[in-house]
Amino acid sequence: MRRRIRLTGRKQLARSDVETKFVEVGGKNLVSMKIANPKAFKKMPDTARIKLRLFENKFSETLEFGTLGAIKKAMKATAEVKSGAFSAPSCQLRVVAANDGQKGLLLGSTNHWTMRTGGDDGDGTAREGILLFQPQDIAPRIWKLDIREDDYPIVYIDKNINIPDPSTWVRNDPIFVSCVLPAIVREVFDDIFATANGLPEQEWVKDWLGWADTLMPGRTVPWTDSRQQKQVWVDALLDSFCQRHGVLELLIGKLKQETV
Amino acid sequence: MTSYSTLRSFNENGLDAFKKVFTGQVDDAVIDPTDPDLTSSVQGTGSFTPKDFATAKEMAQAILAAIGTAKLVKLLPDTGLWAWLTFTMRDRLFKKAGDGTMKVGEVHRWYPSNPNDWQKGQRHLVRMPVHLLKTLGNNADHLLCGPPAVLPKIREQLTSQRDMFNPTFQQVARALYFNDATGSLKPGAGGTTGGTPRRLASLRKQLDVTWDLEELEPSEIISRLPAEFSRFKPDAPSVDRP
Repeated sequence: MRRRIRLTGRKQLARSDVETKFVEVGGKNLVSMKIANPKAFKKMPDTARIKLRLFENKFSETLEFGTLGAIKKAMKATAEVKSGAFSAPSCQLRVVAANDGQKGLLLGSTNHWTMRTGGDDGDGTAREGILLFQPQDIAPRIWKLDIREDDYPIVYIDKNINIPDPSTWVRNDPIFVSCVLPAIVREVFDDIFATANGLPEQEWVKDWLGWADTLMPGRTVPWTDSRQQKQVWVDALLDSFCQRHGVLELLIGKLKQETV
Repeated sequence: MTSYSTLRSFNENGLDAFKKVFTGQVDDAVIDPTDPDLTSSVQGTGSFTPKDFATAKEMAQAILAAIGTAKLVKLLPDTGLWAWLTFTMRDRLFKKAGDGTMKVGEVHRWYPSNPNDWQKGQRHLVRMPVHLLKTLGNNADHLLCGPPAVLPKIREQLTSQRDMFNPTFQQVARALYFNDATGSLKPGAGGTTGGTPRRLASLRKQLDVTWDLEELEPSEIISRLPAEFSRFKPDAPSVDRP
């Protein structure tokens, strides 16, 4: 079994070690948390405090879930989100020592992930993909791409369109797949190339590059090449994407269907 | 001095006209900031009078007073509002060139980007000071003590990462770089050498994987900073400007 060693002493926790859910009760926004993998917390003291940090639109809030011991005993804990700023916050679980000698020491933490305020965070394909989708009030726009610092890009779909599960819709709607997704892919890679001259540290960027490699296996990423060569690389990626997903046929089929 | 009974937000046509003014395509006199065809009143806001604010903090205080009962979190993504405020204060925020055109600089200083854009969101000369004052209060003094027309390096450096919008971290930065006696930055705080805000920004990332900074007192964090920060620490002897 591969084990990651961190010299700071902090344990890398998996997002799946806890189950979190955003719920609205009586006008209050709450996040409930359950420990899904008690083994991950086995060596941590019961006095350690469990926190969830939320970030969005340059707002941040830290939710306190009490001590690890209390959560283990009650099986779950709930914390109120006081700020009304969040619709798809990026979040991180942190386990913090509370003992006098070690107060404030970070015992464990997860990578950042996006919590969907519309419901359960524990399943669904949206959170597992490299592109996240979330309904939001963005009219008159239909969709809007948000490229974030340490978390996967998110596409907001205007909620007036009334799509209960945008991630499924965008994967199946021929017009979105053929016309919008390629534009999103281009925008994301334009941003990656504009901000980095070599392999960046962010996990989401590595995942996007890994995805590009599945479409263009072995093709070198032109980090140090000219802007024009980078555009050629992105164009080649879009060609591969469109070919792999048969977007032309998809759109023609849809248009024929509408004509009939 | 012009006074407005409420804050207003440019609609699509207003934003188009605003962009044309700021890119020198049309004269600013063609826009009436109360024109109902270009703007609409922002519900819940009060009166606002643009004037020569001495600091970005003073400007932010005046705008927050005008925002009144409206929720700032809902207003932050309102591009039309921040563009309108920028337009009403254009003479105070941007110098004019010899030919009368405004020297507006980088686009996101005047045109509000997506507030979540970690690279450009903090550059807006009006929205960012308001956001900082609302979320951090006096802990943002070191970021807002300069004139509103200036985007200080310290603001870009200490707001470029999302985890920086944390009162404890900004309390540490304020204690290091802000001089309460003068109401301005300490000498050297705008530099690039050891102990300056740029280093604090990168050191914060290191500390953040070992400590939960919110759990520590600002003084505890300051005591853990390396020697290069000594000249800025609150108990360090003051240094006169050369």
